[in-house]
Amino acid sequence: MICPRCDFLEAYKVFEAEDRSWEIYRCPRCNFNWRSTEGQELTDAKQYNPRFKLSEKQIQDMAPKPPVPPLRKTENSGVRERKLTYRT
Amino acid sequence: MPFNSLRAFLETCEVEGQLVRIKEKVKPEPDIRAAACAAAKMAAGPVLLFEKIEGYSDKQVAMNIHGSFQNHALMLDLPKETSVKAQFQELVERWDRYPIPPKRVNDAPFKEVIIDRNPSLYRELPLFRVNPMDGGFYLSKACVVSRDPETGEDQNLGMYRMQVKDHDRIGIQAAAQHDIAIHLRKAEELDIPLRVAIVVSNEPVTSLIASTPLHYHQDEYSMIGAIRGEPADIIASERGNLDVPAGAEVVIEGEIIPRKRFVEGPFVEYTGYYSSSMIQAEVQVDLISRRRDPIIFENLYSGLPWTEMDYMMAMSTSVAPFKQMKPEFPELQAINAMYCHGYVTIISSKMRFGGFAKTLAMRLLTTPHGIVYPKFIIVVDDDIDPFDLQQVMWAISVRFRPERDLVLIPNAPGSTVDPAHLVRGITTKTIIDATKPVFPDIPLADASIVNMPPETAFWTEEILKRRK
Repeated sequence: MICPRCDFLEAYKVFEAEDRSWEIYRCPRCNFNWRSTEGQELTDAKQYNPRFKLSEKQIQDMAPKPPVPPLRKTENSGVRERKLTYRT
Repeated sequence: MPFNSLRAFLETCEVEGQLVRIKEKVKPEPDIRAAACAAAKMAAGPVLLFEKIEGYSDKQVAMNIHGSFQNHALMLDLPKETSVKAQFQELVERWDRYPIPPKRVNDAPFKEVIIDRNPSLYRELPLFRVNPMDGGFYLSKACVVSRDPETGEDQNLGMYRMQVKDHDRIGIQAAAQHDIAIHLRKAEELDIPLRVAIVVSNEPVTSLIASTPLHYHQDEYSMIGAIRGEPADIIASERGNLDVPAGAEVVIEGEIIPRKRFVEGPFVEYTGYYSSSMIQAEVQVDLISRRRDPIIFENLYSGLPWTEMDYMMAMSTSVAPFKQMKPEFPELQAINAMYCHGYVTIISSKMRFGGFAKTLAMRLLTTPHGIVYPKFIIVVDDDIDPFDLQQVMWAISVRFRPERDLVLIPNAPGSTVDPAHLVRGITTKTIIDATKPVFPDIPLADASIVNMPPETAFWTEEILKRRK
């Protein structure tokens, strides 16, 4: 199954209604979720609004929100920091 | 009487003519969002209860809970016709009752069904896409509980957009300025998961306070008690020592995966524009507890303003800066900051001396919310109700002198999601002083204001009697 948003080929069915009136699909690359009954402009990769398409490069370049902070240094890490009193 | 659950509030809405039941079967998309949009756009927009949703035989959806000032008044246990200004003043007074600590209870309806193996959000919730180009199905009105992972203190209850991405995975927007981001940062510095409880479908004051920017050390449950005038009932989560509202319909428990970010969005923000896709934090769900079916899933429609989101945020963005400014400026009458989280804010005040309007506007810009959000500030005299735009526009029409009363502060901090930005996060603050000049400024020459006839109030009553 092709992801309508990022064109990844390994999207798959993740859930189906009890009465089988629809299925839900998900893309493991861009996390897009869609329902089979949402209309072709949402479920068909060729008809998906280009303004909202995601490329692999766009995904790679995305900024993290919030940023991941540096790990705290523990006493056993072997790293010691000193405050310099003189800088050049 | 304050409400102990969403269901109790729905009963009152029904009695008051503010609930519409949709008994026919609807499609998850586009029916729910379109009906929610319609309800929010109409005068005195009612709560909607969808009783049959295609594919979800035993689930219901509630929309537009806060979606009119009539519903807002009912939430506060006031007559539904209470004016916006009166609701503002009521909240200002109730705010001072803080803290009324919560009451711990031993059992709750949502503890009746506990799913601790292979929980599935797709199975347990009647999910639907809120806006057509959203990246997935969102929980747009759930409250999230977390604690400082280092101290176990400073429990927080907040409302953040959450995207369902898999059976047991939910993306969460923990923006850096929000309290949960402080908890997450500590957890990530220590490289440990952050335990969270996601609470779905609450009595409406809980949602109001979860979306209000309180100080970090303030307890949301004690503020919910203050606004309700009665303690909030809370109960322990199944795991992780978190307190959750006992009246909830569904509680989703899990932990934020440390130091990883995953594709999230887009989603329509309060501006009425889609935010861009980013990589954001994600919750690994390990337990869901819920009421017996049919559960009621409450969600928020955030579309082209005004929608329910504007009504829900209207008072929290107005009351908080008012409470912060009032001790230094007792002349202050009211603040209306309900346009896009206060992008446009109107301050009403008595004037201490000439030029004082500018002082008030600049003070607003140093309140926690005011630093970023307001970019267009209108100051009016105390004879103007800032919630009545006819009066505000009249004040600008006749009291604003552009050559003296317009102030522009360029390169100032601005909202990062303002679609009008040139540089993201930078804006020009605009101050419009629409007050009458007072000493030592030069008074308006030949300005004799007319009063309403003193008999107007009598005749208003007489006309209303005859109209009924």
